[in-house]
Amino acid sequence: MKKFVSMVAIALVIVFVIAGGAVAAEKVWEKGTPTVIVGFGAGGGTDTSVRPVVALMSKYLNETINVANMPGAASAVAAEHVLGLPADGYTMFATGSGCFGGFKVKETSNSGWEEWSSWHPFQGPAAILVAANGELKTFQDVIDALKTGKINMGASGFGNGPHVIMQAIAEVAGIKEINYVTFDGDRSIATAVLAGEIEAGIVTFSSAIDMAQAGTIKAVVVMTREPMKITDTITIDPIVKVLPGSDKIPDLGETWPICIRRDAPQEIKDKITEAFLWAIKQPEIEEYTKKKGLNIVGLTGEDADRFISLQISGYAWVLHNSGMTEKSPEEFGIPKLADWNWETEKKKLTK
Amino acid sequence: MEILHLLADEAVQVGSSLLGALNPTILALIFGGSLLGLLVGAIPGLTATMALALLINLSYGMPLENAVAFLLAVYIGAVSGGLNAAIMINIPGTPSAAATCLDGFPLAKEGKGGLAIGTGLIASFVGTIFSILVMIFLSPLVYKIALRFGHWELFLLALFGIMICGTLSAGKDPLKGWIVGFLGFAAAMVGMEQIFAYPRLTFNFLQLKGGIPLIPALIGVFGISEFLAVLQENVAYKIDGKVGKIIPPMKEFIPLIPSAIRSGVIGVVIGAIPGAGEDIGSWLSYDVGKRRSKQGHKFGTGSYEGLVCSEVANNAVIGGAMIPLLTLAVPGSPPSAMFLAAVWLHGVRPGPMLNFENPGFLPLVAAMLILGSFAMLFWGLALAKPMVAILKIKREILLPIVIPLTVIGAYAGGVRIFDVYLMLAFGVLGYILRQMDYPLAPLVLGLILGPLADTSFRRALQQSRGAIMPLLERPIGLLLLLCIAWLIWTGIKRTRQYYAEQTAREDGEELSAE
Amino acid sequence: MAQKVYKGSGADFITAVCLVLFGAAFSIAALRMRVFNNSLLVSPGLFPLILGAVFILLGLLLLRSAAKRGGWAQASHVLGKEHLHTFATSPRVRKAVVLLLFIVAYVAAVAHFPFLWATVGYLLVTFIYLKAMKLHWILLVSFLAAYAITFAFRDLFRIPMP
Repeated sequence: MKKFVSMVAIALVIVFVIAGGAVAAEKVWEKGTPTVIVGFGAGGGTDTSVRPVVALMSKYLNETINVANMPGAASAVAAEHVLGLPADGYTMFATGSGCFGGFKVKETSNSGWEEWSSWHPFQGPAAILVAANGELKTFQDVIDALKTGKINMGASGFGNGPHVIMQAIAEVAGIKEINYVTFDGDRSIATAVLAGEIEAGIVTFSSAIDMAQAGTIKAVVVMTREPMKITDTITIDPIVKVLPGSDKIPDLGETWPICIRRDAPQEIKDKITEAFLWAIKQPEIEEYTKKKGLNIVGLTGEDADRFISLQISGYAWVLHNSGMTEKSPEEFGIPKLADWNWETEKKKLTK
Repeated sequence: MEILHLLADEAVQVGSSLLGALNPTILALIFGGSLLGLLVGAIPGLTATMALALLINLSYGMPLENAVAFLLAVYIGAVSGGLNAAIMINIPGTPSAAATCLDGFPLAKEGKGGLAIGTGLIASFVGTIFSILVMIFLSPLVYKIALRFGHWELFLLALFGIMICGTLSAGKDPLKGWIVGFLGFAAAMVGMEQIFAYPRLTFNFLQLKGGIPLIPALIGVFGISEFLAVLQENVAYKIDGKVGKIIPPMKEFIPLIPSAIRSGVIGVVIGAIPGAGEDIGSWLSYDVGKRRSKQGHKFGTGSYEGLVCSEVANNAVIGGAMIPLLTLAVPGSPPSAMFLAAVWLHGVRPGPMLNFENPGFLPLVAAMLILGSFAMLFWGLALAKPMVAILKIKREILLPIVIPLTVIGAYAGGVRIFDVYLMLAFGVLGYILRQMDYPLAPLVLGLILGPLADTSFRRALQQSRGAIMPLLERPIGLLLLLCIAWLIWTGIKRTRQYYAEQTAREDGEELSAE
Repeated sequence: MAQKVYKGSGADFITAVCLVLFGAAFSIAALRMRVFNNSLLVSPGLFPLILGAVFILLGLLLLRSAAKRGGWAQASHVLGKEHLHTFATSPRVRKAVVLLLFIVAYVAAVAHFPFLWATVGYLLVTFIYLKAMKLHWILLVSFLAAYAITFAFRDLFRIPMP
């Protein structure tokens, strides 16, 4: 009996050894499943923006693409993780475009736009929110109240997209100092405005557009060039209409790019571009962006590089001016927005 | 009258959704998802959040109804499944089951593992159903309460949570529980903080900049330390006895009903507050249960009532968390954040527009939650006997097999080996604390609540511009503050009393020896 | 020392001293953190500073209680050479350390070998050390468990594996 059991044991072991060797098929990613690592928590704004695009790309390529979350340090932890892996094209990185501006100056990651190739599906303009029936009714009311220094302004974090844009607005409007109250996410800001915890808040509009449509809160301005019509009766003023001089504020609205190491195999990058361009044309994405007030931009290749480079200049300097950086952007050769020029920037690649 | 009419209307809608759901595909998804969830929950380190994150991509290809059915079934299953591991091997399968260990494991040791699992499952079921009913009928009310929780209240809630967890898990010596709880807070300070993204206590070590991840710490503190503590003995403990009954007799059941209702209410309200999740809900309910119950002194030694308090509440959080999710699109707990992401992908936008854009969605969620809880109960009870059989496996065989599971669990969340080493470090810490009779649960809860306490505190000060007075004028905050003061007062008194008794007893022993 | 010594007082005494020291170190670290916008109230160091103070307070509370119960004498006994020697050579401690080393070796192995094989090796060694079963059972159970786990997580749940 004992002998029999041992025999069975040995037989099973042999079977497992043989079964252990896996068989691979012909694919873009031949050796395994590629993973997109999102630099923020599951279910957050970045996560929900990235997943639908990745899901469609995966459908187009007919291959599973995993999405994992590695939050921490405004996605620098994830960036460093991906840069630390081999450039085999199996790991991608997704974040908010504004985050790149903080990496070097806050010494969280030593990467800029030069290290990444990126694909940007859509862009979300920011908007300033107030309570539906509060004392503040127009953009001018908010500016005046901020000038007196008596009200609090909600923002999802220092150095995040909306905060940077608010700083730019403050500069143009001549507001000296704003008392910010930070929240976990843009949605929480909208709720806090609704509950009367804060008087006003700046958010990426896509995260609160439905509350504005329902009339539970009011958006006084949106960072676009054209008025934004969100329902038949509600149209929101663009910043260029209500704030003179604001046309000088560059396009700092955040995108949520999918990135890969620049030195990853070109074949894989080409396949991703193909799938990406297909994905953003699908009706699902159109529907999704329309509902959330996002603009499809579909930046790839050099356009994408140029975009991130501009964002880095904008974000890094705003962070620096609000005293939140470890080092000056100058030390990393990041030009001020006024001095930014793509032709000069582009040369950094060839170095 | 009008209200009654509205309520009846809601009930009819949910009913028709239920009927609509009775097709084979949806039922199969619910039962499959529920089983998957239970298994995931039972494995230490795999949590409801992680399961949902992994399954979102899969659900993307399904029609909306199917996806909602599948994900909610997994969610309920995973939250409930945590009790199995808590009862059988004294390792909470999910953080929310930590309070379940206190009574569940002593019961299993007495040979009542079957009944403990049965009671726990029924409690989970009751909690879920209760919270769904509240969600359907009282949603506007609860949502108004939840809106009153600003930064200041959240900070106090976190502080309150850690204090009661310390008081409860330490047994007679609350001081030790607090010490461990604040150690958890201290561990949570490591990494980049959430306001300025300034790295604290990272010693320029990049891996630490992301902070100490919860899951590896949880598995380490409970799993590895249990492994070491049990197997270092010459002969590890054994659990004998028959599997016995699973479903508790009616007459033992009836006295538990008041506790169940109270725990349900607590769970729903905590669930509705964004930022507070299953874990704090079960501890709070356990505390209130212990204070209110006539059998309070038995809590922690194998009390069915304690088990009910914790399990009803952590499941009631599910329905509670759905309230802000559906009305405001603010998820009340981490797994519900995943659920929100999933329905977004399907083009449904919860929030104020929900009733205009997708009028059938709320009844759909309610119906699927109800079906999901039935599926959970079915699988739970069906699996209870084999689960109890696992209890009887020699610990020398069972516990080493758990180790690879813990390694996977620690690794899968953050995909880095560093987390696994971190798990080991926390295992050693947990082992030392255990040897010195310190409770472990507050350490983990501290790690969960630490960032909430820290950021909410500073944000409250941002809001009041550094002044304390405006904060004291907030009614809910004041109430919480008084509760905390009272906890500290009674806790210190109890610690003193305990030591006085202990010295007296030892003096007595000496006298009698002479 | 005429004072009577009570159970656990030594451990409490040592813990209390450690806590006070830890609290002090924590506070100092907090004070060295950066202050933003010239306001300590919202700066990263505020909460750790309070925590440090709380640790010192809790430590003092524990210290007082331990000292009353003869903690000092007990602590010097516990840290005495003799006691440390018995502690280090006790079979329980040795067993725990060996078991822990196995896990450490396993984790290191997982990083370099396929998960399945590392797991098989770990289970074999641990089972043999614990004398859990007869040898052929050990072989069988190790392979079965390792294979089942690897299969379930890698192929069924598609969880990223080390």
